[in-house]
Amino acid sequence: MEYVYPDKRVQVCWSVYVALTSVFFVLLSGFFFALSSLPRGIALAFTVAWSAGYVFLLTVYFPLRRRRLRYRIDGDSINVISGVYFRNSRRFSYDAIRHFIVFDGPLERLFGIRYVLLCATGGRLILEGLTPEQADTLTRRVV
Amino acid sequence: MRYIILPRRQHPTAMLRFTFRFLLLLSLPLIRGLHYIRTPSGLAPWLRGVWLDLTVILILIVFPYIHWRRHTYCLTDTAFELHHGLFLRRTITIPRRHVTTLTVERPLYLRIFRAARIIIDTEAGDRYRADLTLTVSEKHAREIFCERQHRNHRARYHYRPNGYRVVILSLLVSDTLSGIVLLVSAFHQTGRLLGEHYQEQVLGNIEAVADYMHILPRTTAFIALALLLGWGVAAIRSLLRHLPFESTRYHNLLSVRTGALVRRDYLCTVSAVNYVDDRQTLFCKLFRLHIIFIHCIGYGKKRHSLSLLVPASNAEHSSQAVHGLLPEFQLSEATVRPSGRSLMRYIFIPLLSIILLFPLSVVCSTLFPAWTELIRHLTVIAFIPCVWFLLVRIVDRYTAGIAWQHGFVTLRYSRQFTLHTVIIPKKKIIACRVRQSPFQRRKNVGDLLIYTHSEDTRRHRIKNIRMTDLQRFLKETAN
Repeated sequence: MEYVYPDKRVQVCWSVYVALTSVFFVLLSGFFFALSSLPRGIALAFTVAWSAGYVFLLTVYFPLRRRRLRYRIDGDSINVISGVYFRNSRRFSYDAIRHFIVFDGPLERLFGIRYVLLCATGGRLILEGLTPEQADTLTRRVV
Repeated sequence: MRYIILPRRQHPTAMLRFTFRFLLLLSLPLIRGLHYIRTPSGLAPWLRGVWLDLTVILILIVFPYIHWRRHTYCLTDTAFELHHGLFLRRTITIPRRHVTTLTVERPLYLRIFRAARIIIDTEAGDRYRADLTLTVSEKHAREIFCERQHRNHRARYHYRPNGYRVVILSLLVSDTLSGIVLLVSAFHQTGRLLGEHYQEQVLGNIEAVADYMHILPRTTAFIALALLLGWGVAAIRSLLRHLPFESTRYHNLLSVRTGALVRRDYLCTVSAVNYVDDRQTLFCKLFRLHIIFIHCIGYGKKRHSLSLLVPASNAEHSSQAVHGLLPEFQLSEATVRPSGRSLMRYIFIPLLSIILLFPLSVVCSTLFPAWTELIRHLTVIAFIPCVWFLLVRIVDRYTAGIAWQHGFVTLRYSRQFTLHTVIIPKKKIIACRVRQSPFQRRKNVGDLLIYTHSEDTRRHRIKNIRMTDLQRFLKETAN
């Protein structure tokens, strides 16, 4: 079988969730700027550092992560290739999978995508950005 | 897919469990109250901010309620399913064929509401937490339990030991340290409730009892008394957990019923039993008692609970019970034993600890002269387990061994203060490892480490076996 790439909209979900966490850093930066005892240079450096981190995540890391992530659901196993810096290739046989969790947040429901966490003897595997049909096919095979 | 139990909500008492995660919020009204109670005119400002306390209380009621409303479970012919979550919606699916242990737990506070807890475990997931926990009505719990049990037809063998066997077990396997921790926390809490006077009175009584033990110095007597009390408390707790005890074998299930205050019913899948473990302490060895445990993921997972199969009993009784409950597990006599000159490998660590104990005591006394007496007493106390350990290792040297027959491997070895005889089905062995130190390489012997199925790392080690025997074992068990 061919490798399947996750839905493109999964990248939007990652970006939105990460953007939400930036609220904390915005508040922290505001606090640092408001502190009269702290030199403004330090507050500025902190703000630039986290902003650069976020820009890197949103423009480089997430696109690369999504492009490198792919699955192959075979008759007896699931193969996952992932990783930005280190390339990981993992293979889970259906026999080893003991239970699984299918989950989606509000954004995923909006885009019609799901995550599947497979719990197997000796490890866990998360499949991101599956369509409901793909998730159903996979879970039916496991059960 | 056919529904056996249609999607339904958990018992309303499940809301109590959901409330725990919001309990931290209670600190807000508590801190506010403590802040204003100290000021004489604190009532008016406290009343002005009472909306915050009401919001917290509202959160504590509404959020668990929503959480409970969004929790539904069902049972199909193939799997257990739990749907939950408001924003992040999750569906946990556990295929029925992968369930290793299904437990029905009835604590006292749930029994008042006619509710019970269902705990489902598989070979995957967290080592300390069950894969699925549901709070359901007693009727529904019975329905789920019986549904699984009835699939297995009639009972094949029923085993109910006498109460005194469980009492002996509780005395032998009680965890003294946890008993002391429990005792200390109970003492501290009651002291806070009843006042310092009460604490002083209890301590005075303990000291008076310690004074009665003229043979021992006062500090040693005090420590010995604390250990004894801790051991007693742990034994009583273990007794309450495991008495009454009964187990029944069905077609491919093993049912275990245990506990007086918290009743627990376990249904273990026989094919999921990773090994049977016959444990003996030196006392057990002396009185020819055997305590049989099993390793089945989910059984005995909770803290302080044991995965017991047969409580303390003699060899004939225990082998009869094991044969009735798990006839698949065949014990074999050891065919491979440690090499002839292995005694030093077995006793090296306990011997070293005995030899080092007294010089270490002298060094400590020189460094801390004010504590000389205490150090001397602690040395005497530490000497006892060291000698005990040495004796265990000597016994281990002459009883350790390996046997393999009919798809089962029998291992005899010691771990810490306990002697183990373990029967492992070959298919439950995930890895075998041979380890040699430079000294062992010279003598052409090695340690065998066998890893078995588990949520964590479970290994069994037999020391100083001849390499030729190990190679033969690896070759024959690989087939």
